[in-house]
Amino acid sequence: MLRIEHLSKQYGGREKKAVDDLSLHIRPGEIYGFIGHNGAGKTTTLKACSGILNFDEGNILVDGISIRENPLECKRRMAYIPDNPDLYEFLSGIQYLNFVGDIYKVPVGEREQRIAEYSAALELTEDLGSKINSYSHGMKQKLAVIAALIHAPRLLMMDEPFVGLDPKASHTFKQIMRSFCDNGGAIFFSTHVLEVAEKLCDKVAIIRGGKLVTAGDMEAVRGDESLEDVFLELVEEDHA
Amino acid sequence: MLKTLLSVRLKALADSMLNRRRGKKSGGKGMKALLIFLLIYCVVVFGGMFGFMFYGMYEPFGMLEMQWLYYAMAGVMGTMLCFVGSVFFTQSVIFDAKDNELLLSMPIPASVILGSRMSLLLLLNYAYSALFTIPCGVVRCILGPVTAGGVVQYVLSALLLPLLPTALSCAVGWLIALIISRVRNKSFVTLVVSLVFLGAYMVVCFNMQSYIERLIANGAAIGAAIRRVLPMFYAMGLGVAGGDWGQTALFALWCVVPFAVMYALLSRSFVRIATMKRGSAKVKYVARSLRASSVRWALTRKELIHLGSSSAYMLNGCMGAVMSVALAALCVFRGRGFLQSVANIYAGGADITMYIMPFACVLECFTLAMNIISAPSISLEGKNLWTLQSAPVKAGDVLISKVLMHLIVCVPAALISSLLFVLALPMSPAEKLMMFLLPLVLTLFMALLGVIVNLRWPRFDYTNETAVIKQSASVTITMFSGWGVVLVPLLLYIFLLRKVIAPVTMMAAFAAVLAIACVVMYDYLTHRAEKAFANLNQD
Repeated sequence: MLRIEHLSKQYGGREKKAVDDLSLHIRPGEIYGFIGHNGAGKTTTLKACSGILNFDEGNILVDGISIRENPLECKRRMAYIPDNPDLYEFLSGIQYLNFVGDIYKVPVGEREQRIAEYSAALELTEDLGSKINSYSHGMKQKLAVIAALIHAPRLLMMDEPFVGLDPKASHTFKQIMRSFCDNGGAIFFSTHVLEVAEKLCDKVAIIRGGKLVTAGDMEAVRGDESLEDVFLELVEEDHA
Repeated sequence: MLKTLLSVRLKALADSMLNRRRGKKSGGKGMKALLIFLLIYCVVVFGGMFGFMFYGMYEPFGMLEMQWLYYAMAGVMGTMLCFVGSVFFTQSVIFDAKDNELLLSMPIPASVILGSRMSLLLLLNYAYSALFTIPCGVVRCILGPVTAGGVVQYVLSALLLPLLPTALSCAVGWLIALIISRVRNKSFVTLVVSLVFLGAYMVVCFNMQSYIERLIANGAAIGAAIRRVLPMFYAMGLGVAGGDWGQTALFALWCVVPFAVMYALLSRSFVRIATMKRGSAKVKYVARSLRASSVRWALTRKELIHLGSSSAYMLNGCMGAVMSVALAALCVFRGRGFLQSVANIYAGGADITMYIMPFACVLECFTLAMNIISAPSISLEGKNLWTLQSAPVKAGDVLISKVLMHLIVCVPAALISSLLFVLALPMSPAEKLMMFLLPLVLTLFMALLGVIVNLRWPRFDYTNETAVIKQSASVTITMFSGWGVVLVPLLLYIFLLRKVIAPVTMMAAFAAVLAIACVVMYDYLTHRAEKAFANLNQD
């Protein structure tokens, strides 16, 4: 579904690469966790995969299509939720969702049905008439989730998606994520909450200083330890 | 601490003007040179205009032995300009600044934060008042003998003057903030209040010539009225003209006391207003059938909703549309004499009898060039840019939607304005055609130019949208380029081609050149701007 091949990205004016020769493969049906310390290169990778950020070397393929060569076709198949849900505050929730529906050319019936389904599940229906500038951080996050799912993407990429969600919404969202992948979708997301990653993810990748430290099945990476222990060990090893 | 906060605000202002981006030191030599040129242009144009005005006032007041009125007029006009110039800015600078909460969480007294905000307004007002106080002083030095004491008193008065309009702006900004905290439609209320101020200012501006003529004819009576109604300016005038230090001290009190009172009052309510919930009222959603739109129309509608939701964007972006219709309406009601009175103020009193239609068309074009709706539209995507960059939309669709927003607002204004001029003035069929065609082509040119300039000089790291709308490089460059585009063929015609071709032929040629430029710009935005759009905000 998503293949990252030798991805490298260096920001202008900086000596060190933000992402250095990173390769990953996310298959349909997988929830793939992406963990690393602050500034490790997670957001850069996710933004490059979603077509927001240009990259220097390597390639990113979505369903076998190169994001360099055919970005629009790739973007039609995926959705991205950033770490901070900056949405158009002057629109109401429903205006925003309808706008996203128009952008992705979702038939009216389908968009109405998905908006009703996901907003009910995330308990946002009553607030859809209000302007986004009246929303709390959690409500914006819920709206960003609904907007991401409105065109039924095959690949979902998220940067810290659980930040701001209340426990109930967080639980519901995990169920949505599982169901999304059970239906053939793939999810690639970053998180600092290692307990969530451990319980939710089929596979995990750990990144440090822009370089991939380890990646693979959760059980294989974790072994007999907790993901937190593994992460700390790997990061310290790398330091040493 | 106050110094640090003020320097941060000034740096943000300078960065906004020079289009410096995070981590990059300079906005480029070209940008600096361009802004210096624009600054000199403003100083020459406005300084010259107000210099002539003061030149015309000095002798009549001297003959009436009311020299104080000369200085008092500088005070009144400077105060008016400062007030109108800063009142729209006050609320965003003081109460709506996005870093208010961050600063309030730091060990900085609220009074110091407020002090830094008010100081910034005061500096802005020094710039505005200088447009009057400097020409007034220079003309005075040219036309009569000066004493060292008189110069000191005048400089002191000029330095004190902006305190008063700053206090007034803060008072009105405070009232607006209080009112909109209690109403549902904040943006609409702000727009209405702002339009009332703007309307009053425009009425005064368009009648300035007749006011000055009446003032000179009835100097004694009007002087007495100013003395009674505006005693602070009487004190200022008398202090400077008569060398009366007592009056200068009185004027100082008139300026310092309101400023200090306003500072004390705002200090009490600053935290409450700055931290009140800004969002709109909650509306319970009732599910309705949704309507699908094309990608381009969805993007355009989003732009229009953004424009309609921001009073600052509407006021600054659509100013030219309002002014073009207002000018044409005044021409309908007051006849061609109105155009001559405009020429008296802005064209050095040129006799436009033979060129009524071209003058009306140029006037309309100048006002339409003030429409800068599309110029900040890319910057205004701000932190939401990810939405468009991650969506399967062509850059061309995004950019043309911004052009369409500009056209949807400005084309009706251009048509109404042209229609009113056509109804009010005698014109041949060819002139009527040009009266419609040229403003329309210019409107399209401004819409396209704004997007291209903003694509070249975007700004995303702002703390308040008003900063991008009012002070960004893209807005300044677009507006002055628009004026330049109107001015160059006008000067070319006046000085070179007047005796060679008819005005209407020149206008047709100008429209053709603009149309070609529009085709080139449209082609760039739809076919060749993909890379520039993808490269936005990559740092």
